[in-house]
Amino acid sequence: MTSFKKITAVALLGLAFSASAFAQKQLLNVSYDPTRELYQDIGAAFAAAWKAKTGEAVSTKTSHGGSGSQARAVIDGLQADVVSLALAYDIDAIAERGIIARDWQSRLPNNSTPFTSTMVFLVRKGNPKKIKDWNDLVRPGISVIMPNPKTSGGARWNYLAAWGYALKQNGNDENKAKDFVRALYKNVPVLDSGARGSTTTFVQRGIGDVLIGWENEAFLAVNELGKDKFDIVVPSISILAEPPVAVVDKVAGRHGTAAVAKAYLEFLYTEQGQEIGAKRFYRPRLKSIADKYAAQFPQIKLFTVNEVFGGWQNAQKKHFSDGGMFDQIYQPGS
Amino acid sequence: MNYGKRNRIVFGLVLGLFAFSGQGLAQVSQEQFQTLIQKLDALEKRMERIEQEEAEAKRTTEYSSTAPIEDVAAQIESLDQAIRISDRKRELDQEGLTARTAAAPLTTAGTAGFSLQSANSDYRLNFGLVAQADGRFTVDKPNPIINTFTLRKIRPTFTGRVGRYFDYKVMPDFGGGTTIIQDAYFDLRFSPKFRIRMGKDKTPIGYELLIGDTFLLFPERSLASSLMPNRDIGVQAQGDLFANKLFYAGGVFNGIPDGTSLSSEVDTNDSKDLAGRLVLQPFRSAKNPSRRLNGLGFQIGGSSGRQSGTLPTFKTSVGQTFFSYTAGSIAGGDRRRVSPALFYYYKAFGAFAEYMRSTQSVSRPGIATDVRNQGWDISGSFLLTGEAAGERGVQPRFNFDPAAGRWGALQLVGRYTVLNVDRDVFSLGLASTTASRLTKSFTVGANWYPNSFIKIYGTYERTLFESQTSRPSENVILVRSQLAF
Repeated sequence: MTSFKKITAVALLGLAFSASAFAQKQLLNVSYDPTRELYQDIGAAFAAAWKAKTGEAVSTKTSHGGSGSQARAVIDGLQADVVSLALAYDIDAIAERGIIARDWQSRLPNNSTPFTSTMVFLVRKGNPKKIKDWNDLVRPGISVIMPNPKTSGGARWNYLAAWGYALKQNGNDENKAKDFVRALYKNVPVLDSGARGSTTTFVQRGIGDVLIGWENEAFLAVNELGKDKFDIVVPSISILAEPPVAVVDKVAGRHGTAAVAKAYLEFLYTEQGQEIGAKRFYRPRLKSIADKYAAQFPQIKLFTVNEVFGGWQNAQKKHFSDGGMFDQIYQPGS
Repeated sequence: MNYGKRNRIVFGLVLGLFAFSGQGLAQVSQEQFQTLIQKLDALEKRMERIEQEEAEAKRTTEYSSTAPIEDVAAQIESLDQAIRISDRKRELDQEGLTARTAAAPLTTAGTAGFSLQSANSDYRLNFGLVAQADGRFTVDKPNPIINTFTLRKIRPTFTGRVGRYFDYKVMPDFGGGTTIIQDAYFDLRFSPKFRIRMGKDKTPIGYELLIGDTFLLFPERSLASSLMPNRDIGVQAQGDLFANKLFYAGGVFNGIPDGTSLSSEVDTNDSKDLAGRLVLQPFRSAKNPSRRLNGLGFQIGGSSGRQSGTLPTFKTSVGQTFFSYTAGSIAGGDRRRVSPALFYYYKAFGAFAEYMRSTQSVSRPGIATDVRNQGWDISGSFLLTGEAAGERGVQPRFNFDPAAGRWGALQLVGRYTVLNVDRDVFSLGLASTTASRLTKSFTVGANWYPNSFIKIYGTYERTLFESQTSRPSENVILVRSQLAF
């Protein structure tokens, strides 16, 4: 090789390295509906932490919608580097297509759920309809707002929370639980496609007496949309919601973002990430942060999907698949 | 009426009776007494009616004043909720409709043609058509050709995309009384800078030959283009680089004789041609397309390969053969072509010039030589109606609308072209006895574009031949009506 060729080769290599060194990595986090504020804060904090640690600039974009719809979008080709969905079943659906490794849930602590939450009631200020527990929601004349379980992960948590309550009230009598949930949906005048849409219906459009929704979404409505307008009602029992996260292996591999995507999700488990979550009213997993913010989360008796429904696969098949229990209970326009 | 008023009426009646009795009952006649009784009855009935009206009014007042306010508020609240729910459902329905509309396939029919397309543009089918009806007339005596009308091209065109990265084109031709597949290929698009085309398409060498059939200035291409191969089957790479300032195309093809298209769809030998072209437009600018040098470009194309078998014949625009090799002559060995070109388009003016050279080993029993045929042409056009000239046709400023005094676009065109067959072909006896060694053609004409789909060509072409048999010149008028979308 001549000197000229050597110099040219070294220059080209140097150029290539410089280009890659200065290239900014970008992550797309495809998430469920009410996490906009959380992942906006997480993205900014992670970018700073990653820059400090590696010197590499990274930015995150987020996409939000009903959890089931978001999973479908990723399956159909939406180029998500990570997903943070409302429930494990939706990530399983992506994993079944080979886009995410099937062992995704074991790759991060707590079954890849960095935060938990639960479902509570948001009522008009002063609770004029005197709603205290699930059984109040089926009273004639009560208007209940919640999204459609066919498209919304939060709505599936709502549904299962109500079903679990009814089972416990009626000695695990499935028929009575079914009647209870049917009566509940009879009081639902509008089914939005996602949790944020239901919040809009209840808060901004002024429809309904009570909104069943994510605890964090209820706090958001009270604290940011009007403390003088709404109250949070904590039912006697509810469900432990565990929204999971995962790296979308195929996309991140193709984008060359696998390492930064993994670090982004691991950041959620750090003290900083957990505190950001707690400030946005997601219940932290980390004990130190959970203790610090214990006062802001009401004590509530919680049951899990595994305990009452035998896991998400069973719950999905029995209740939310086509022709399942929800389809039997709820007829559009009825 | 209230109770006080009624009491006053009764009191008045009683006083009246007393006064009446005071005047003396003896003085009152029976008739007067009856009249008083009637008046009393009337007054009594009137009082009863007034009392009934008062009682009714009282009931109404009592109801209005004592109905529960809470019930009314609840009714209003219920109505308000019903209205809000109705509004929200309509809002959600609208959102759903918008989402469904966004996801629905698109069907278009308009100035851009006809197409079906998926919402995400990954799947498309565009339907097009090229139909050309020609009239060919000679002004020579005796007639060297039969004056005739003919259907030159009938080409339905199917182009589109499947699976986001794959484009395709299929174009059969039913013109001239035959049916052949002109184009049939698909592109694998990696990026605008790099795509792979597989199938049958024009060989990427000659500038004029690669101008779309419907965008030509003249009904038929120049004599010089007879030295370039037309459609062939192969694999080529294409792309646009440096903000579309440089276009490249190159690949490997079966290899076909000059001026022909592959008709058998299979090769007749194992050798293949390498062919390619580069087109440079150094001053091209998408931001400022009206710059004076924007439409200046250069191109160089060429091919190389080993071919054997069929040799070409050369024909005029009206299909008269003016050169052919003697029977028994065959191609055998290397074939190389090269074609530089220069083109320039500015406002209504357009021109290009190109040179072509095709070198082919030719043999017949006892003779073998490399034949070097050359040709060139220069073409120019000017749009009298002021539209912009270009390789992609003319878009009239005003479509044909005689009622509004609009007539479309009118373009004047002229061309001079020469095809020069190697002298050795004649000196070695490889040319037929009627073959012309040097053929020159001059064409002038006008093209009328009533709109962007219709084009009417009208040209006069004079072709001169230098042959061993003193072949007379050919003077023809070509008229073409063309529908293309």
